[in-house]
Amino acid sequence: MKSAITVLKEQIQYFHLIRRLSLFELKSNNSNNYLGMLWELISPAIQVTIYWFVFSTLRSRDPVDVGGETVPFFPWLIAAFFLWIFFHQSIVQGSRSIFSRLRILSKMNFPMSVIPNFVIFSRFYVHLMLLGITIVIFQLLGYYVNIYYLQLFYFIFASFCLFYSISLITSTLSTMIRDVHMFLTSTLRMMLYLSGVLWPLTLLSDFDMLMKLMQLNPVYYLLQGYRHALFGVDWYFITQWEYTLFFWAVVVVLFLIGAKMHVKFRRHFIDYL
Amino acid sequence: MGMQQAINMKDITKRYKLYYGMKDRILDLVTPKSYGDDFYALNGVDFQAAKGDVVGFIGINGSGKSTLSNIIAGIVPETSGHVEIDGQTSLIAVASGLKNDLTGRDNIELKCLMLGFDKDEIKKLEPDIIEFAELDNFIDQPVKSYSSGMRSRLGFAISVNIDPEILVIDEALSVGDKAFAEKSFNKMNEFKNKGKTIIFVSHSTAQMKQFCDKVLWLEYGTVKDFGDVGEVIPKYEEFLSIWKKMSKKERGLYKDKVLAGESTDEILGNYIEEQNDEAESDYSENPTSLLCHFKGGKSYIYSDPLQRIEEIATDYYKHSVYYVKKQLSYNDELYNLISNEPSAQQGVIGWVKASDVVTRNHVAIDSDPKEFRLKGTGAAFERPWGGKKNQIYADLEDFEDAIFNVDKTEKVGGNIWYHGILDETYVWIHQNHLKD
Repeated sequence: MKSAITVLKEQIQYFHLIRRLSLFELKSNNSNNYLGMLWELISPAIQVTIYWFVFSTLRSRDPVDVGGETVPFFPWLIAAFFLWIFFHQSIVQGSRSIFSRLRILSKMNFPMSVIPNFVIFSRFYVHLMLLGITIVIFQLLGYYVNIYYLQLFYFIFASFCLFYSISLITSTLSTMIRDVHMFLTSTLRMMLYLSGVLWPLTLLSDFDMLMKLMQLNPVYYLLQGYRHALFGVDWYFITQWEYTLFFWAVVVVLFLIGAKMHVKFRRHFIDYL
Repeated sequence: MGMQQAINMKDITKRYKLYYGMKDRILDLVTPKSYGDDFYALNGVDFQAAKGDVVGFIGINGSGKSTLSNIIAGIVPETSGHVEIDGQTSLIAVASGLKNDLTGRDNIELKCLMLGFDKDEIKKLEPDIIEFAELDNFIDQPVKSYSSGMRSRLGFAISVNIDPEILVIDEALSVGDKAFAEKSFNKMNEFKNKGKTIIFVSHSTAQMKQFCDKVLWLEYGTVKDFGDVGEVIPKYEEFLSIWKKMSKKERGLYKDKVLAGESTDEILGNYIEEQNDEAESDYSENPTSLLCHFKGGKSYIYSDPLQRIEEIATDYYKHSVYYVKKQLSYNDELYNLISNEPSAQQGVIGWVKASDVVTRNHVAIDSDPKEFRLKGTGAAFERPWGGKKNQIYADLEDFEDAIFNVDKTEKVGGNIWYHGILDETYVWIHQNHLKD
């Protein structure tokens, strides 16, 4: 508990630092390309086009049911696909955030707990741009801005908390054992197919047990929240309040574990290089 | 005592684990039992420094001086012992923490931010840093386009301009050219006069004598001596001169004795006598005429090969050819005196081990005027047998069939090199790229 408070305090105290450092992070990632920051948008766009091509032309998908409303596959896909990109990038880069910067950062009196945070923050800017694009596409497709959009703020915040809690754990573990990072990147590839990004988990309704189990994935909660907001179905986090409680319980537990591990080991990170 | 303590360390140990393979490492991590061997970089070190002290850390490689300075700077945690540091410490290690993809200006902001400065403070510091680093219009270029000298100047400038209370300087004054080294040194003196506590880690006893008040001599992780500069440095120099003559086996023996806490007088004593018997009998200096290139890998330039104390890394000197007009042999090791000019007096850089360079004999043939035409292949250099850094024209394609008036002919190894004027510039060209 004490370490959780320490970590939280550091996030608040160094918030301006997180903002600046995340901008530098974006800048230095893209300074080698002529198109610069544009690539942050181009590569997810290419990805989503491929999935769309494969799943709606080659293996055509039925329209999907979102909270009682039936929507075609393509809008259903992009409503949450970029949130998956945000998740994927945050987790991969968050996990390597500490050990890849340790040599530089350990030479300064600098709270290590903000490192995963500013890495996720730099991904967050990109996500905001992609979300903006999604909203524009939705207007063109005839799904207009509605009051339920407001819950996007809640879901963005919830995503942030989940991603940071996970990164606290993975960045600590992968600093000590590099294999954790490799393990994580390969597992994430699998997760794309198991988290209800590319196909609705309701397809499994014949296997009730399995479907329920897969819905326990907290990422699924976020993805569904995005869809319900963008299609203007309902206040997802209220109608599914049991699920909301479960999600936050998971986040809090992950955060407590992550903070405990981080604070316990951070003084010794440098010994693991 | 009225003096305030800035650093107070008691019974510090630093243990590293040496693992033999992955299995040890994993077992050690997951089981409570200890696997792998322990290695003590520091073993029971006591050290105190009062506010305003300038203390030098000396010792041969592996003595633990860098580990101790890193513990003071808060980079590496101690394994056990008691550390009390009063004030903000800053480690001045060169070229650390620069992001290659960002510009110099961005790097200044980034590093200052991470050191805990806010926006206004950074704005105030920035001009001083830029001026000190002497980067001029390069400041808005990405750091990856900097030369190694520029990079270390920037790193150094940021570190010294942030004004910490305790400075730890780890071998940082040996970077850059002479003028910059001097400037850095003046800055250090400025800190000293301001009454800052300074820890200075260096191989150079000359710099120590100039700069420090006290010296801590470390040996295999323990304190060998601590006292005033005038007292400790002569003892250390005497020890060094013996150490250099020891064979590998004797050094090992010496280390074992020190670690076991036994007296080492016997081993050292042998040498003092021997030294008197055969004083400098194995030293000789000879004129020669060679050209040389540095081999890849790490090597050093010594201002004095007998002491081998002042060393400069040679990275900056690679890919260029140098004149060698003098050689010396000492303790069966051959050294070349490298120079930028065909002279042992002018343009001299320093001594290098003959095993660190590739050499060719260099003989003047004649100074008769000759005329050739260029084939359009190869490159033209400012020195015969030139390297990448000596290129004047990297590509002679544009000069195909141009006339080359030669005024000097020299032989390097088995090849002939011609000196003459090409496009109003004096260049050297290899025989293979010329035709009659």
